[in-house]
This record gives sequence, structure tokens and C-alpha cells, in this order.
Amino acid sequence: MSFFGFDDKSTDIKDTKEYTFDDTYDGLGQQLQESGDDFNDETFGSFAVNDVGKDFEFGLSSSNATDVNNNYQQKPQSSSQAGMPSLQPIASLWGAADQAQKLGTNEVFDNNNFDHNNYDRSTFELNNSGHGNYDPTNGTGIPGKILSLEEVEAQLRAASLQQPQFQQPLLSMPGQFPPHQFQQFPPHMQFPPLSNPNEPNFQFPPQMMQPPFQQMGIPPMPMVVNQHSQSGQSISQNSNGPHAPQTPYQLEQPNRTPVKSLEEIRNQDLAMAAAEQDKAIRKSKKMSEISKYNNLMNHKDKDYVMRMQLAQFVTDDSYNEDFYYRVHTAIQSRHNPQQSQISNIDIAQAYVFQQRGNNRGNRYRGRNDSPLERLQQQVQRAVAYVKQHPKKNLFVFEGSLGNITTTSGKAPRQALKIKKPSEGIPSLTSGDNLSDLLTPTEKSSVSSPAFQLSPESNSSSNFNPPSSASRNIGNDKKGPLYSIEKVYSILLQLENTERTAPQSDPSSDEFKEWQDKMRSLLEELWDALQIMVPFDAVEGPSQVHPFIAMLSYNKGMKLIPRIFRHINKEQRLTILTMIVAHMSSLEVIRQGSYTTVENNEQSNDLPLRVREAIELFSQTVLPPLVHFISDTSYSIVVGLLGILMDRNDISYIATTKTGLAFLTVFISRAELISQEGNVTQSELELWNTTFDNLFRSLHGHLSSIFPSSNNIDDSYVWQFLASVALAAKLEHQRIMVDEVRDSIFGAMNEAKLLSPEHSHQKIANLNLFLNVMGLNATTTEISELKINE
Amino acid sequence: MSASIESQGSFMTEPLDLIRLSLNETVYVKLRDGRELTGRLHAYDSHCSMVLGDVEETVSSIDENDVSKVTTKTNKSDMLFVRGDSVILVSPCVPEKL
Repeated sequence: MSFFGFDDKSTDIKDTKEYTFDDTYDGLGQQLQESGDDFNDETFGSFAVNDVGKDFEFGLSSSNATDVNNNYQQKPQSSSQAGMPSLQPIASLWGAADQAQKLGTNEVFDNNNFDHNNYDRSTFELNNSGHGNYDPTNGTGIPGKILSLEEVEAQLRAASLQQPQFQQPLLSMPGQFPPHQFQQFPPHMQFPPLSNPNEPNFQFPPQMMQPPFQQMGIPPMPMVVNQHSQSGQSISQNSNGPHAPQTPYQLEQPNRTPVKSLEEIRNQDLAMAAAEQDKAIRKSKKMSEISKYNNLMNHKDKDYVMRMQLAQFVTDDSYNEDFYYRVHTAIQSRHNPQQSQISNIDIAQAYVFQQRGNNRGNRYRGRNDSPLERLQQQVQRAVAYVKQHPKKNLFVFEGSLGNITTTSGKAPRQALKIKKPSEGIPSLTSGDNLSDLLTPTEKSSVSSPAFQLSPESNSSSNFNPPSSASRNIGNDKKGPLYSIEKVYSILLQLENTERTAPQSDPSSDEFKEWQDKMRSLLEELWDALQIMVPFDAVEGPSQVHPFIAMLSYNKGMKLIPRIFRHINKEQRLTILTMIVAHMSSLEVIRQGSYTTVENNEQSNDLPLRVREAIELFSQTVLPPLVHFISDTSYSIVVGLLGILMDRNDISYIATTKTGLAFLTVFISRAELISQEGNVTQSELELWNTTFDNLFRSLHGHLSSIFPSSNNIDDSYVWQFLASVALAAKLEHQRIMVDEVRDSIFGAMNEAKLLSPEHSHQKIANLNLFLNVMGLNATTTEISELKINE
Repeated sequence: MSASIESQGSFMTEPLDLIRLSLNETVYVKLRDGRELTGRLHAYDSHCSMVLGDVEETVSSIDENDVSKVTTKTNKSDMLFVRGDSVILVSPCVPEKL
């Protein structure tokens, strides 16, 4: 890009100097008399120093305008020595050349409202006045001798009006070169060609402009002035605000004292302008790079591309393929039910709706609605098209030698076709457990790579004794993991089948078929849970039932509430019984006891991983079980409690949060039913015996059920104690109080030190237990509970 | 659960299916360019692209001048998408040092 044929690097100051008028205009400047500046002060300085502008009635009623003028006055004052004022008479002489008209016109101008004409004029003024002021043929360069006093006065008057106008294109150029204005114009458009008839400064012979600048000692200026005035003009043609050009002046206001020489300022300005110009040029180059591909695609092309892209999205099984989107919408609709109606809208449509919402929010505000609607319609049409024309993955043209395969993101072209070995291997459900047929030595040999892949070996291998040292060894881990994945895959199929229930009436064949499918999937699910797998009578100390092993994993725990939705009451009871019977094998029980916490640990708490697992267990597994227990009959509750005590070490289970939660639920449920009174005498006796047994097991261990650190929330312990106290006889209660006395007083003492609200919480927890026995605690004392309190 | 579900019956048939066992579990992933990741596996696909959560990335680099000098840097991120083409190894066992 070039300005007037110069290389664009000429915008750099150093380069600009190379293009002085001496070079450009055949050295005519040499003819100038450098000594003829004796009266420069008289000519330029005098009016510049005086506040000429203030004394005149300009017809500019706006005080704003006057202020602006005043601001501008600072500039000439500070830089009068540097030759800056010389520009002012140059401008003012414009008025001398065409006084009457000039004054008339200028008075109409509002300084705050520069328009195109204004910039045109200032451009014109600069060059024109140069011609009037310093006639090189005259050779004197002293304007005072040419003009009469009246003329000078007129000049001053005019100058005071014009000052801001002609200075702006020059001095405010940094502010006037915002890159975004440049980028709107291709480089060659930016500056009008020399032959532009609207460009007054080129109507004058170049030599006319030359002398004044030489006198000022600013050789490169003419070019700069030209450029700037022109660019100012080009900017003004598309400039968006009249205030922008004033900014530089306002910024300089604090600098009233002449600190910088004009040369410096000018250089700075030039450098900034050059830098910005450079930037703008680079930007516009980039823009033109990009925009050269504009309009390469027509509407049909775009439609086609969009259709191809959408074809990848559209799916028949959105629950499977857009799982996260579905879950997300489900969660969303739970939060704001108004939006839940969109559940059947296709994902592509939803996407466009979103886009539209976003765009409205920001930059396309108010102007792009209709194109977006068009786009939306296009998308709808495209989606409809794709749905009508399902993908065919294989075309066989008649007479052709091969197949033409179309691939998609979902089904990429297959490079290898491997025969799936699944036919050869008996499935887990039918093959039952290979491990049952194997002796222990055979089991250990089942670790060859070939076997690793087959489900049987994995599911069986988990029966290896998982001593804590070998926990991370693959065999131990893979069995339950495999089982979990199998359950998940069946569960997902089941859920999917459930969603696709036929709408037809229950007696139709279609519905029966669907029912059969559901039933078989449920059976498969039940088998996959391995809950009915017989447990060896001679179990080792740490052998774990496969179902219980699944609950060692977070994803296994998350299965329980999802499975409970599908299975019947007997199956639920089976699961509950299984968990109760094998409670001490549960990971959350095995690792959840505070008695095993090593005291040298800083936090004195369970490891984070275990705490998270316990939390998850109580959030996922417990609720369905508790719900089931709260619905179940007296005998079952008592029976389960019996199983729990028979098969597990109660004193250990009671030291874990999960174990206590189970005990609490059982005891409170049993006590609740027995207090309702619909219980036979024999059942009540059974319950009393069971509870006595339980209490005997707990006796002597009650103090150890508290968590090891005071910082841990122990409300569940007090809840448990409350439920026990509720069922307990008086002598039981006395024993309990004796055993936990330290903890009671400990809690009270702690509460004294805590902030009021924590303290209150602590005491409330304590009172859960004490209130059952008719006692009430404060931070200082324990008193009898008053009923009316 | 995000992994593709085989339509009917066939479940766990190819070696890549072993990764499925590690879903929602902590895995150790070795990548090209001396990178190692440990994180919770949320999802994977047939290209071994993976979505990992709570990831710790270890970048090992060798000093140009002194080959014996290995510098390691660790980064943490809540969620990470790993493009499959850089995966060398996926393991359910997290090495002790990490």
C-alpha cells in the first residue's frame, strides 16, 4: 500500500524526512531567504500570546464553544517559540484572501460540531494560506508588509475562529486514526487520488506551500500536513462523532506550562500516528486476506454443508446418544418447570434457539432477527430432510464390483473386521460360575491373558482373598468392576426399553412383546447382580460376596437406587437381607471405623476417599433401603436385626457411621411399631430378646462409637443413642448414661467454647439423647426436662 | 455410563472394553511427549479419546545439554479432554509415585 506512491513505511518519521520538499519539488526551497524571519514574533507571536479569542463576539453563543477555544489557546502559547503559531496566520490568511465570505461562514460553524465541510475547509486553509502568506517570488517572507492593519485584524479574528479547525487534523491525529476506521477502507481507497477535484490543496502549485515550512524548520511537515488533512477528511466522511477529535486537547490541558517542545510533541504524534497506521494497514491486509473468500459458497452450498453436519446429530435414540443433553434438560426442567415442555424438541432446534437467544443478547441486537429466523427454518428443514432420508451405510450398485460405503462420525469406516468371539464364550448368565467348578489352585491359574478377557475368569477371580496388601492387584478389582459394567449395560437397555413403551393398549401383541422384553431384561439384570450366588459356607475372613463387592465402588452404589425402581418387593428384601447379612464386608464398614484411624494423622479423621464413599453410601444406597424398611412389617425388621447380629460383629459395626445408621433405622422402626400396639405378644417378646442381645453386644463399647475427633459431626451418634434409649428399659438407660457420661460432659464443655450457633447445635444433638430420658442439657447443667418448656 | 452401549448381548468383547471397567475410577494415562495423567475416567471412545476429571498432569522434559537431568512439572485441572491419538497407555493402576 502506498500514499501518493510512497512506500507505506514512509509513515515512519525517519522515513518521512527523506521526502522533503527539496526532494520532491526540485529544490525550490533553496531560493528561500532564511534570514527573513525578523518579524516573526510580531507576525505570529503577538496574537498568539494574547487571548485574542476572548475579546470578540463570535456569534457562537454556546459557552461550550468558547471553552473549547480557550483550551485550544493553550497550545499556541506553550509552543509559540517552536514555530507552531506560524500555522495560525497561515490559516488566518485564508480569511484575508476571502474575508467577507470567510467571516460569514465561520461564524456559522459550531466548534463542537465538525462536519465534512469543516475538515475540507481546514485542509484548504492550510495550504491556501501558505500561498497567501509567503509568496516565494516575493522573497521577503514578511507578511506584515503585504497586509494592511485592517486585514491583519480580520485575520486575527478569523484565526481565533479557525484555530481549532485547522489544528485538529494536525494535532489530534493520534486520536483520529483509530484502526477500525481504516479497516473499513481498502488501502487504495483510503486517500483520494491526486486528481480528486474535491481536494483543494492540490489545486495550488507545490512551491506555494514550500517556504513557510522551511522557515519553521520542520521539513517533513508539508507531507504530513497533507496526509493528515486528507486522512482527517477521509475520516470525517465516515467519522462517527464530532467529539473524537477534541480528545487530544483535553488530554493535554494539565500541561499548561510549555514542557515539551513542539518538535517533540509532533514527533511523538507522528510516531503514534505511524504506529497506528501500521497497525491499521496490517489489519486491513488481514481483512482483505480473509474477505477474498467471501461469497465463495452460495446458499445451496451452505444448506448442503449444514445438512451434512446435522446429519451427524440427528439420532433415533437420543437417550443413548445424547445422554448428557438429556440428563441436563431433565435437571434443568426440574429447576424451572416452565421449560420442561421442550423435552421432545430436537437437539438441533434447541441449539438454534440457544444461538438466537445469545445473539439477541449481544452484538446482533435488533438487526439480525430475520436472518436467524431464516437460519432456524433452514435447520428445521434440514432436520426434516435428514429424518426422511435415513443414512444408508452401504450402497450396492447393480453391476458394480464393490460396495460404496458412506461413513459417519458415529460409524467410521471399518479398517478391520474382527469376528466377535462372543458366540464362542458362554455368557455369564447361562454359564453360571466357572469358579464354583474350580478348585482354589485352578482359580489361581486362571490368570492367563486369554482368560483375563473372558467374563467368567474375572467375575470368579474376585473370590481370591483380598488381603489389604493385594487390593490393587488386577484380579481382585476386575471382577466386581466387570459385574458393575454388566449391570449397567443391562440397566441402560432396560431403561431404554421402558422409555419406548408402545402407546397401544395393553392387550395388543406389540405391548405383550414389549412386556416380554422388559421381563427378560429384568431377569437378566437380577442375574447380573449375582445376588443369588451361593456363598461358601466356609468363607475366609475377608472373602466378599460378589454383590457386596460391587458396593465397594461408587458406581456400584449408584446402581442401587436405579435398580430398586425396577425390581419387586421380594427382590428388594433379598438385596436388603444380603447387605445386612454381609454388612461387615461392606467397604464403607470395613474402612469406616474410627477405631482404626491412626492417631498420628493430623486430621484424626478417616481418609478423604473413605469419607466420600460413606457420604455417597448414605445418599444412594441408604435411602431406598430405609424407605423399604419403613414400609416393612414388624417381623421382618426384627428378623433383619437378628440376622445383622448373628452374622456380624455388632461392637465393630457400631463404630461406623453406616453401621450406626442401619441400627438406628432398625431400632426406631421396631420401637415405633411396638408402640403402635398392633403387635402380638410373641412378636413383642422376640423383639425384647433381640434388643437385649443387641444391648449386650453394645455394652461396654458405647464410648467407642463416637468419632475420634471433636471436629466431626457426631449428631448421628446421639441419634442412635436416642433410638436405643427409646427402646431401652430404665436400667439400660442408666448403663448407657454411665458409659457415655464423659462424652456428655465433653460435649457440654465443648459447647461452652464454641460460637453461639455451633454451641446451640451441639447441645441440640446432645438433647436428642437426653430428652428421651426426660433430661435436658444446657452448656452448664443437666436438668430434668420440663414438659411445658 | 457414557460409553456406548452394545445393542444386544455382546458385552465386553474386545480389548478396548477393558477400559470400560475403569469408568468413574482413577486411571493412569501415559501420553506422548512425556506427559502422564492421573484422573477419574468419565468417558472414552474407540479412539481412546477420554474425558478425565480431577486430573493431575505430569510433564517430564529432558534438559538439552544434560540428558540425565529430567525436570518434571505438574498441572492440575478439573476436567480434561484427551485426544486419543496421543495416548500410549491407559492403566487402572496408579503408580505409587504419582
